[in-house]
Amino acid sequence: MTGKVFDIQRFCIHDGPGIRTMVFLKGCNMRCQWCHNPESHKSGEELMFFPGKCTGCGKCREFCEKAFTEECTHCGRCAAVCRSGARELTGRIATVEEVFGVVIRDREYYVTSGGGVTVSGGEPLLQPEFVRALLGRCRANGISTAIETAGNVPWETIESVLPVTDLFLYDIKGIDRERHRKNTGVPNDLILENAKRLMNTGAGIRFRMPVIPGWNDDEKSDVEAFTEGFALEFLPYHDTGKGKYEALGRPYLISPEADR
Amino acid sequence: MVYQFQTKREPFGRGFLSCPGESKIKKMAAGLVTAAKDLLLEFDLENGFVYGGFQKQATGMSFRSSLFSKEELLDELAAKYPEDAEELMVIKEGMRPWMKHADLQGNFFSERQNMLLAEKHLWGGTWMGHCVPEFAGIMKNGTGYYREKAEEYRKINVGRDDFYDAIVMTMDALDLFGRRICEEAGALAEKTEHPEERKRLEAIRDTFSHAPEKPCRDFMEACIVFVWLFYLDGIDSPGHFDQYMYDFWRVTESGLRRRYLEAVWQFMHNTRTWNLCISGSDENWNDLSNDLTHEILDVTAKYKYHTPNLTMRWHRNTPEKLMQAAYRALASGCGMPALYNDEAVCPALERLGIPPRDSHSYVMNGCNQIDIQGKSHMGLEDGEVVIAKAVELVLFNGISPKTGQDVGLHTGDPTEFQDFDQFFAAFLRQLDDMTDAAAEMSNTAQRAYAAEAPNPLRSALIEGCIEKGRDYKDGGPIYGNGQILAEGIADAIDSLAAVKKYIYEEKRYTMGELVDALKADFEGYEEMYHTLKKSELKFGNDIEYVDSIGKEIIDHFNRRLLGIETVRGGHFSGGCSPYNRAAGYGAALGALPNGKKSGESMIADSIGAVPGCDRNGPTALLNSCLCFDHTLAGSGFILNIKFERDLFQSEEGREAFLGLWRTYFAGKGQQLSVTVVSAEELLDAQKHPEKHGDLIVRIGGYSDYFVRLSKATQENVIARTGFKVGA
Repeated sequence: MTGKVFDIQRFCIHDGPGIRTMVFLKGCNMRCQWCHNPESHKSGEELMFFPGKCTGCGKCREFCEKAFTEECTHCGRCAAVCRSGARELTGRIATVEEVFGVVIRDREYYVTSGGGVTVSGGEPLLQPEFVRALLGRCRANGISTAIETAGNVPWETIESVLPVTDLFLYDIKGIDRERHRKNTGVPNDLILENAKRLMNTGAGIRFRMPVIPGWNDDEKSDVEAFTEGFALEFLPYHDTGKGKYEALGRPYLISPEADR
Repeated sequence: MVYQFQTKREPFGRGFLSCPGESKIKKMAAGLVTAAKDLLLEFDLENGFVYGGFQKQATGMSFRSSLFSKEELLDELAAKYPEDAEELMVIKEGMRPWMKHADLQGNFFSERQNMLLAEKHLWGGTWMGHCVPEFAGIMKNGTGYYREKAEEYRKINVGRDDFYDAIVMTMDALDLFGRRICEEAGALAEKTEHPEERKRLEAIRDTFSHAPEKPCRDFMEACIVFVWLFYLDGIDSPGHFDQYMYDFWRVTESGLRRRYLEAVWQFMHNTRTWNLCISGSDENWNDLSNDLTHEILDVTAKYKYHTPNLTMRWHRNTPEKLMQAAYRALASGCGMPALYNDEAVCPALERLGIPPRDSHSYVMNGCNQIDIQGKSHMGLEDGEVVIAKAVELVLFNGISPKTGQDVGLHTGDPTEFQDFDQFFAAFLRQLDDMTDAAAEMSNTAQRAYAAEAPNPLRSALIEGCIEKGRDYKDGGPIYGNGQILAEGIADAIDSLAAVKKYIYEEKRYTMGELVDALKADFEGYEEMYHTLKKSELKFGNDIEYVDSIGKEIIDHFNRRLLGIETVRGGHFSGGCSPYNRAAGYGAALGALPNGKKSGESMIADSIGAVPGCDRNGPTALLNSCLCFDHTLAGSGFILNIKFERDLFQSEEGREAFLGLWRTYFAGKGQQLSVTVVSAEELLDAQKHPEKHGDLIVRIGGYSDYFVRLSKATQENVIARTGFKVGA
């Protein structure tokens, strides 16, 4: 069993309780304007370029004449010759065993801090078999599990991971249907319906709402009303993804200046 | 013939020279007696203390140098005070023959030892070192106790009269000091108009109306006597302050005792006091912390001073409340307390033959070294070995490539080694040779100090000395173990991992090519340089391939030391402490297979990764460090670890930090020195991103490496974390 992973980060403390290892899965079916993980959008491999690290040595050009031209196919082989790390290939196929091998290394820290593993993305539930296998393996080894999801998947998918998930970090980006479509590229009917159903299962849930000034900040009370009786966390907007949009050669559509 | 001095200057020197024909230790005691009569007393009216010490004198004694005579200062004084010039020159000439111990390299070290020192890859015993006397003995027992003890053991240890005379004279000197302080404080108090100052002077007067001859009666008196004695000794490390002061603390009114605790804190800050220790366990793992422990953490957080170096002992029964208090002090940004683990330190000391009753009363001195308060002289950085140098010596067959000096063993032409095992065996031989050389150098120095550097005050206050009739430098203390520290550990591990992987396994380069590239400082070998530099096989990332090499070399180093005897009557033990010397060691090394260039001074400064090489976060770093057996390192096994301020500002951060701490210590990690990242570092990371690959910043639900963020976001992070951006 394999999955498309773009990062594994150890010692994360803001996505679930305690010390956690975050497994970021690649591919997402939403396009939130404010997303800080643009490299998670597409499911395939992508080439990133960090101009701040580039020393201008020209090795990538020597290696491949298509580098930095329109013809670049993002094959990523130039990243291997880049000495400064300015070119980086993001996304890889990893086995459950491989990812679990990293997660298990911090088991003692999960125990002493009440932490565990969190799968995030992208949208992790676009790879439900992988998530089920990985979290099942973690649970069997006494590791607490969490999924960070936007819930924009068929209910059956969510249902299928219920037995291996201790906590859902469930994102609600807004209640207004049309505005949701504008902000994220998809309507929110399925997301809200799944949320309601999930609330009735008795699963551990922490709702989270990214609050983007000028985009959805006037919907805080609506979201509060919708999630009543459950934990709700407001996540402040930050533009830390900006550098990565540049690195991927994509426009950064939302700027903090414009929001004010 | 005894010179009859008229001057009142330099009482220690005059006293020292007043008894020709006597032994050196007795002369030292005579110096103390004269000092007690004539040394200038300073009254600190703000804090309410009195000082009389040799810090500003040209002649005197201190823990750093035993007897000292500063000839340049004597010349200066002679020029300034012509009426005393002739006598000051008599002191200068008279002291000179007794100063042999101040020049080990000229008087005691062999030519080869001097050459090895100049090479900067090892050293041994080149200074007197720290230790932690039982200051409280004077506060609790009074000087009479030591006089009686000396007379009792004088009868047993026949022929050691000089030593016992010196102890008795030293106690007489302390009493003389006390009587003079009492008189001067009383006279000053009468003249003083200021009511607060008068009160403080009266407190000093009343304290010394019975101390140090008789015991102190409360915390105020104990603080006044402690500060005076500690200053006279030369300002080293107070030791287990919350333990030996507690009997005084609990009988004193809370406002008064807090006032004097804060005053002691000011004093320690002003004098750059070394290491003060709190909490810990007894031999049955009962917790020793008390309300003074908490009060000290509170004062630490309040003042945020960088001295004294506060260290806190942790163990299986440390109360949660105390861990929270330590977290709060760390969160204040002063980087203290440093955290020590009884679960690793006590077993390490027990390997040295120290029984649990005493192993559980360890304290730290100096930066990070371990001692048994009032019972040992072993925490004195006897020597240091740059582990990475052993790799270089294998690659260059014993010759130092930068200087051409023949410093190591001739382990053979490395191009003829058939496999990594042969290379590794040669490495261990070089390492052993360096270890033995450092230990031998240390013993040479210790022999010289034993003969030439007595200190009757310390000998009185360290158990074993009076019992044996021997000075604290001469094998007197109950425990006389030694400490040889390792530097450049991760540089060696990374270099060995690179040789194993790229030369012997992948055969990407030949050994000849590697040696040529190192000789050329990678000039013309750019591809190899980047392969080695960018290699993921770096210590501190929780990679078994790398860490297993680390375990093998460091456990080997520590085990070897345990088998080498010190002249003080113990064995050496290993450790690792960060010092500013690390930069110098780095510069003395040539290019290394881990991608270090010849001119670079960067070198691992604790048991952790080479700076910037640990990229998998703190849990990975801690896991890597737990590959070593920390119970083999009895000298302090230090790990510097950096955190972004955010971790110390949120609830999640606190739980995560306490989780790291508990896990590392439950895994028998010995020590954690926590640094909360500073604005300067973030700014430096902008300018030199290559040095700060490990710096993680966290904002909201997202975290990233600082150097990967766009310039604008970096600025944002600097602003968000509340740092002021300076010039």
